[in-house]
Amino acid sequence: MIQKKVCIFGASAVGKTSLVNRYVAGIFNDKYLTSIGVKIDKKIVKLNDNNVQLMLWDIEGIDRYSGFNRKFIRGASVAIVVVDQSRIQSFQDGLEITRMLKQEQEIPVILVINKSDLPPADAWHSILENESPSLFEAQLQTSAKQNTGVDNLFFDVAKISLNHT
Amino acid sequence: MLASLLQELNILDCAVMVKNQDNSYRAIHSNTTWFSAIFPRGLNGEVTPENNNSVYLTDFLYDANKFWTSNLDGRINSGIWSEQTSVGLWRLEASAITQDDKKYLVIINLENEYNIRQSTLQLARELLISNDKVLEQHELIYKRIESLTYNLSNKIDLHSPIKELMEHCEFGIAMIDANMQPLAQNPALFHIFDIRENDSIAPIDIILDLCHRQFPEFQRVLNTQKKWNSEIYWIKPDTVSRWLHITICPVKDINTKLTYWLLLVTDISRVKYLQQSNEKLTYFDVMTDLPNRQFFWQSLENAMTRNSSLFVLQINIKHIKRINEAYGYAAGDEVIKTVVARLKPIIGEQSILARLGGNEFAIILYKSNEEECELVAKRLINAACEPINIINQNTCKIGLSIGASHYQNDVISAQELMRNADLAAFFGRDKKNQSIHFYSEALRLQSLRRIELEAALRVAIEDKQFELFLQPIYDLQSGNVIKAEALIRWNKPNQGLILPDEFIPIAEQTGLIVAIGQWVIKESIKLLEILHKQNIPITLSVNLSPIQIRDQQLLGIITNSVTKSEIDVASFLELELTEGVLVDDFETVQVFLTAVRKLGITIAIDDFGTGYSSLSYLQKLPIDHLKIDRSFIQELSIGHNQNAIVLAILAMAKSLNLGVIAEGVENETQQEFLRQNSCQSAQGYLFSRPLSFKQFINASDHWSTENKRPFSTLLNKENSE
Ligand SMILES: Nc1nc2c(ncn2[C@@H]2O[C@H](COP(=O)(O)OP(=O)(O)O)[C@@H](O)[C@H]2O)c(=O)[nH]1
Ligand SMILES: [Mg+2]
Repeated sequence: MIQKKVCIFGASAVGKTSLVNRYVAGIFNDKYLTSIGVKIDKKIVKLNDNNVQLMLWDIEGIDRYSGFNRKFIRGASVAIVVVDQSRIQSFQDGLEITRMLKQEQEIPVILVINKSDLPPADAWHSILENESPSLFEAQLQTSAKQNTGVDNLFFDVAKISLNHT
Repeated sequence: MLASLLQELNILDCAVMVKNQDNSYRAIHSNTTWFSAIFPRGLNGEVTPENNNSVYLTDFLYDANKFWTSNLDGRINSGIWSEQTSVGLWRLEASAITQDDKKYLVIINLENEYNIRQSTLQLARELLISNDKVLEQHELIYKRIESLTYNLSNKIDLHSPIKELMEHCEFGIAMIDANMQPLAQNPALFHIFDIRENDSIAPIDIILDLCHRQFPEFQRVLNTQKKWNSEIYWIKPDTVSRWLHITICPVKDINTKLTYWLLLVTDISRVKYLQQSNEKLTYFDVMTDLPNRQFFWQSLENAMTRNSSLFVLQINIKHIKRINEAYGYAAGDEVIKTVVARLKPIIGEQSILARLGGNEFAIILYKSNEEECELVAKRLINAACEPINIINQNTCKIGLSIGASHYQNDVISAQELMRNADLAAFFGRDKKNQSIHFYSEALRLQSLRRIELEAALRVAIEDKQFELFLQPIYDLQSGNVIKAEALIRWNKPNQGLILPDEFIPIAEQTGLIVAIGQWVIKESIKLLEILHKQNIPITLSVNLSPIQIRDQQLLGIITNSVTKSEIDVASFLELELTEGVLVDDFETVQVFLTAVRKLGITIAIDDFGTGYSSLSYLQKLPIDHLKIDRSFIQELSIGHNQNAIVLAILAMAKSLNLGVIAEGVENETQQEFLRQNSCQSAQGYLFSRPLSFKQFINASDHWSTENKRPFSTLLNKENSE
């Protein structure tokens, strides 16, 4: 079976772990427990002609306590950058991470706007429009909490990963 | 062997494998449950890491193999990861080790360390996020109120949308006028301090008092009208105490005059107490691992009771903002960490280096005199200024500004000591060469004067205390006055005329130059109109400062004034820019000059020859004249060397079809040389000093009759009257 490595990046507490837990185990927890290091989960996505096994690298939030480790994206087919729409700063962090990723290697980056169940921060939409140009291969809305857009996200990830070796 | 290795690693819950010559591995310590879940064993007990069940470990083995091949002694680590196995969830880290020609793969169970790190970072991150949110909200309200203010006329109308906004805001807001008197305070602010609206004391009194007492730099922030934020602690004896996040922002009008201060206050007690339950977070800065502000204050107070002499150094790392903007905050943080790593070994074990916040650091240094202190500062500056590598093979350079104050058994408080160091650092901030500045009475007076001058300049703009003097420019062939350079003077009440050298640098640093520059343009056009009506059809030449070129409104103002005028002012207006501007900001300048030129205005390059030798921009920009710097003209009579430079400039101007104006012509020899070598025009004391407008008009009577050098004599008479 085809295996694809997918890296999940983003600032702390945007919902990276929650998205993986929702997708892989069908669970969600309201309590925030910060991740340390990396955890890898696997799940098979059934596409029309292929089954793809995604290896989801849930990577510790990138902030002043934990930097960007370039070696993680080695061999990855897709990178997911998660942002939290209730927090503008998380988007700015996401943009920065994306730039670092692009500098490191040519790789499709998917922007995931999580917590769509919460009201967006003031000025969120205008900032998003102004600053999120062609950097991203795709842009999706999700709520790990309400389970909206999550399956969709990983389905798209699987499709995009097939186009990229 | 194994025992010593494990002892050195100081771990037992681990697995150790030795790499054989044939690339298989032999497990020499592996009696753990998780090990067998990850490594299926072969029949002979050999392990094959290449076939392990861990994706993360497999990935690490790429790096490990590369490392082992290098044959260098040492160790690389995989970083911590979580492994879900059939027998549980494990927190592991792998290391590849080469020691005495042997290659080991070691995997360690880091459960404990994981938990410690998680609980520390859990708090740190919650704080970070809540801090982000507070700052975000403050910034947003500030922007909104600022824009609402901008649309109002002079008067602040408190029944406006601003009032609405304040009423409903969930955190505290106050508006204070320039004299620190409250204009408005919202209900949330009263609520924070548990005060009723008609109580005798107002929230704002409490806040200002706390800020002055808890932050030595606060008065300076107010004096220099900077935006500032920090955390303060308020206690109401026997009842409540609160931690408050305070942001104070100046709201200014277009003349950069302060309309009022906006004070934003959020109660952050909850996260603060959470933080204090963790000692590491209370006293240490997580990013740099240095002691933080709280720790520093305590240490300073202790040190002052124990020692009779010490220095406090306040250090600012310069250009961090620029690095953040260019490469992102992560890069800026890395730079700060690098600098800290360089400074630490220099100050040694005894002294304390702390991070006060952002790019501000402080040191308690046990030295007995300024000279010793200066030596340490030099080493700090040299170490910090070495280039620093940042992402993508870029390097950057930072600078340090260091202010110091000396404690010598004085009756001085820790606060005062810090305030003095802060002032000294602030004083050195704009200086080009980096060195330490010691607080002294003279320095205090000097910075007071600066602050006073700045305040006086603001008044000057409002009260229109400026005046334009005109210095005639002569055509060297005909001897006629064809132009005049407009030069600004400041008529400071009770002090007389102040020359631009003294106030323009401050105006540039504070941004006041924008308002002043706009006035100069408008005034010049007014003078031009009068001159032309009086039949003196000359051109006026006006100086532009680099900062003005970036003033978005300037072009509009020029266009407006030029088109509104009854006469064709544009054809008689010339703008002077210095060489440096062209190079620093080529694109902005190009756009600006092209637009100005379209109006019919001409352009001259001032101080030509002193700056940059690259001349390619001269061809690319729409330029009409070069003004040869006075330093070259002054040497004309003496050395051949300078003659050559002037000749070269003249030749180049000719080939580029540019006019040339010589500045600072003081004697006949110089005039003669310039005339003979076809320099078109000149200005200088030989012809005339700068004149007030009235003097200028009077002098113009003599121009038609006495062409050559009409009124230098006349002027001297006038001056001596
Ligand atoms: N309302 C809401 N909260 C979410 C959502 N996803 C995650 N969270 C919460 O956000 C916090 C951080 O989530 P986590 O997955 O640990 O973030 P990570 O640091 O990016 O891995 C937790 O308290 C989650 O419960 C979502 O879609 N909506
Ligand atoms: Mg996580």
